[in-house]
Amino acid sequence: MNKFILLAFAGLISANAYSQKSNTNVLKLAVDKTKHFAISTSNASIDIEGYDGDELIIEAITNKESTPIPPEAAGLTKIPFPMHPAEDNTISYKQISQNGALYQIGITTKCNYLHIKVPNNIKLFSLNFQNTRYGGYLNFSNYKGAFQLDGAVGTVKVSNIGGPFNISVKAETLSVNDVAWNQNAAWPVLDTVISDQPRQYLLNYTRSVPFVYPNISPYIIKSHKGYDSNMDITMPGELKAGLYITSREGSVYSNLPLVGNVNVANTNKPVLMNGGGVKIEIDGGSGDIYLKKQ
Amino acid sequence: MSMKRIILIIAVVLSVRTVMAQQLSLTKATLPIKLSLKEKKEKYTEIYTYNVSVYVEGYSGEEVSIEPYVLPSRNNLPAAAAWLKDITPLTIKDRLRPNAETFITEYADFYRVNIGVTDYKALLIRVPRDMHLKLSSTGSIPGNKMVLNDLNGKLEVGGSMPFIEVSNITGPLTVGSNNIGNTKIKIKDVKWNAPTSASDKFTILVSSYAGAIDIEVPEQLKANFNLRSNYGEVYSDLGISPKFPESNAQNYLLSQLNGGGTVISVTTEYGNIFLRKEK
Repeated sequence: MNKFILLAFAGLISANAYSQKSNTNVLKLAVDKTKHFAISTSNASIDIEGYDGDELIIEAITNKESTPIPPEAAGLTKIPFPMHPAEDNTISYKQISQNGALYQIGITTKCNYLHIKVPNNIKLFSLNFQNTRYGGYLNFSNYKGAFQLDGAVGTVKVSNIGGPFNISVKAETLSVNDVAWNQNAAWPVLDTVISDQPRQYLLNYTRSVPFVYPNISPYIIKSHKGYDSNMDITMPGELKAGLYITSREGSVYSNLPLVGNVNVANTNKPVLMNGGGVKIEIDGGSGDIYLKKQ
Repeated sequence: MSMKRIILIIAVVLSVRTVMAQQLSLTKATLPIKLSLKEKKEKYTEIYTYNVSVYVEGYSGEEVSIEPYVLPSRNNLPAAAAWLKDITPLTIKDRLRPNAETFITEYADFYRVNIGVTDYKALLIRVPRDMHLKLSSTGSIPGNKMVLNDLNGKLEVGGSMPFIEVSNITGPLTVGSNNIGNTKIKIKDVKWNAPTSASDKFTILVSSYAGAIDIEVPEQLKANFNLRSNYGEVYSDLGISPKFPESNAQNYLLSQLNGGGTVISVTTEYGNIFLRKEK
């Protein structure tokens, strides 16, 4: 009888977080919005959006078309790897770090697709992701507040966002649209970040959470060096901004009213839009950059 | 200083001296380059390039030549740039290129050529058809290609090219790209000869981090496929299926065509593998 009660209790607990019968599984976690909240995921395509709530809500949905058939496979038959782990909707998290300013978790799942809802206006929200499977993607939208995206995936689309933000990705295509650009945008000061020199990462052992230094540009869009990625960014034509645009092997195309002097090429001076204003850093990695009127 | 350390230092010094003794000369060079293999016993050349497309062709001669190559069709403006202005001159340039020069190292039996930074978009390398070749190209500029054609020697192709195509070869062939982004490796029109020695065991050995690997195979070939991918898939029209118990390991798929024979080994972390009938 005792064993039965124990099993029933375990079943109730598991049913709270997981629903094995359906192909959708939900994980909920209360978020302390006064801290830097960082999550890391791997090998899943992700739709993530901000919402006016207090919980992180992650849905693991199986059989979602997250790995489409590549065009080269036309006329061929898929031969499954016999022992490849099958997709399932189990999902769990592990606390990686916690202190007065930071709460960091790692998400573990065998699901190829995650739908994540994250509370708006966390002091700082960071997402690290690693998924370079064919057709892998990250869609980040509708988020109000400071955030950072860091990782590798096929396609990244960022839209309807506030900021400040630091988007630093390895992707084949990256688009950033519908930004509520703010002339007074500034990074939140994180109490535990004490350093004389800017550093890229806060946590060395995972290298997964980018470091934020209060004096850096409030808007950073960066593609990693050596990446065959194209960047598509839209801005309102009337935005007052100073753009620090770095290109390597790629080219930069625009229909925005950008003013620069060819003589200052190769120097660290901004290209001005409408006389200058908010500082925006754009680094195209090895790909082309498209800056378009919104 | 311990005896072990002394012995180790002597061994290192001796080995360095041995290598130095084999090296006949080290000379700076500029393109075009021509090297005669007439006096070379090995008929082997190593070529290293950086951030440039490379086209290699075999021919019935005894010289290796490396020259700038004007591609038949140059890339025009990308379609996505329609109605936009090219403002690249206004931006901050942060070149990936290291400050490296071109030089040729001559050894008793072979040459090693390091092509340094070049403003050329592509190189044409012509080599004796039966020569053994090691070719490595680092850098992964979007659109860069490495294309090898009509070669009967042993081939070792590496680096970080986003696109590699090998055709009309006898092998054995080792080809790989450690490019992390979008990568394609294509192998076709192989003259599928039987391996001539134990060292030729792997006729085709392909590895890539994230690349799609595409191999054309004649329907009647006797072959063993050793395929490994952590996150990719295998697609084929050869009618092959996993062989057991050999495939009872995570991320491995072992299969045979016509009872097995030539070994084709493919390893990729994230890429898909395409094995298709040769047309």
